[in-house]
Amino acid sequence: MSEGILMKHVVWKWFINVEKEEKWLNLMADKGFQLTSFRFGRYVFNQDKENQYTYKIDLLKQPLHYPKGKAYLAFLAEQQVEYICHSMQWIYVRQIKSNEPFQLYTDITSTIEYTKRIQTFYIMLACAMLVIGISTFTTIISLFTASSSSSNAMAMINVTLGSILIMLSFLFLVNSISYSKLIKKLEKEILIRS
Amino acid sequence: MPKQETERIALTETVYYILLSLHEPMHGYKIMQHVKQLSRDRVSLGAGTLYGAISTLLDKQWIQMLPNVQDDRKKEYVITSLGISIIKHEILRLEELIANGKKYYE
Repeated sequence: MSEGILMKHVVWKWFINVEKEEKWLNLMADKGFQLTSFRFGRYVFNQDKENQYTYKIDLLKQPLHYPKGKAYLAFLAEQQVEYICHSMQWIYVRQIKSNEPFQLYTDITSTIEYTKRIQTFYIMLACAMLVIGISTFTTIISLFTASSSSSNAMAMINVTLGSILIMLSFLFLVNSISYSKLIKKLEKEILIRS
Repeated sequence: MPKQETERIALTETVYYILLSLHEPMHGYKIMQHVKQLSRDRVSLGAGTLYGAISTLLDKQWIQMLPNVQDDRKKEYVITSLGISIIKHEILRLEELIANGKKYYE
C-alpha cells in the first residue's frame, strides 16, 4: 500500500527476517526510494535518484538513548555511516555506494556476537507472543461459559487473535532456530580460524 | 602483565592489525584505511567490528583514547605500553609458527 507519488513514498510492510528486510530496502534504494523513517511496519521513503546508498540494519547491545548506544552512533558517523532511524534497539543506517561493499561486521567474532543478539531478540519476541496468545485463549473459556451472543462474538475474536499470535510466535521461533544453526556453524569455524 | 596472559594470547587478525596501526595516534576511519593498505586490500574492517574491537582493547588497556586537543570531533587512539608487550609476544609466536611451517612445508 502506498500514499503519495512525488517526493514522499509510504509503504506498509512487515518482515520477520532482518536479512530479507535489508535486501528489500536496498532494492528500494536502487529504484531511487531512500528510507527516511520506519515505525511498526510503516516505511517512509524520499525519492532521490542522484545519490546511491547501501542500507544496513544493526541491532544495538543497549537502547539508543543509553551512553553506549549514543557512543556507537557517534562512532558510525565518524566512519561516514549515516544513521537514518531506529525501532526499539534496531537501527537503520546507510553509506554512499563506493567500490567497497558496505559491511558492518567483517570478522567471525563480531558476526557471532551480532547473530546472537538477533537470535535473543527473536526468542524473546516469540516468548512474548506465545504468552499473550495463550492468555488470549484462556479468556475464551470464561467468555464461552457466559454463553451470551456478545460473549460468543468476543470469544471468536479472541480465538482468531490468539491463533495469529501463537502462529507468529512459532514463526519467530523457527527464525531463531535458523540463527542457532548459523551461530553453531560460525563457532565451528572459529575453532579452526580466527 | 600476568605471565599467563601473555603465554595464552593468540590475537585475531583484526586485533593484530589494529594494534599495528596504532603505533601512532589514529581515528577509526584512518585505522580502516591503514589496515587495508597494510594487508594489500585483503582485510577490510567493518565499522561494527572495529567499534567492538576498540571497546575491548580500551577495556583491556592495550590502547588508550587521546584527549581531544583539536576542534575535530573524531576520537583518536594509540597503543599503550601493555599493548606493545602484547604485540611483541604475538610477533614471537608468529615467528615460531612461520619457522615451524617452513621446516615441514618448504
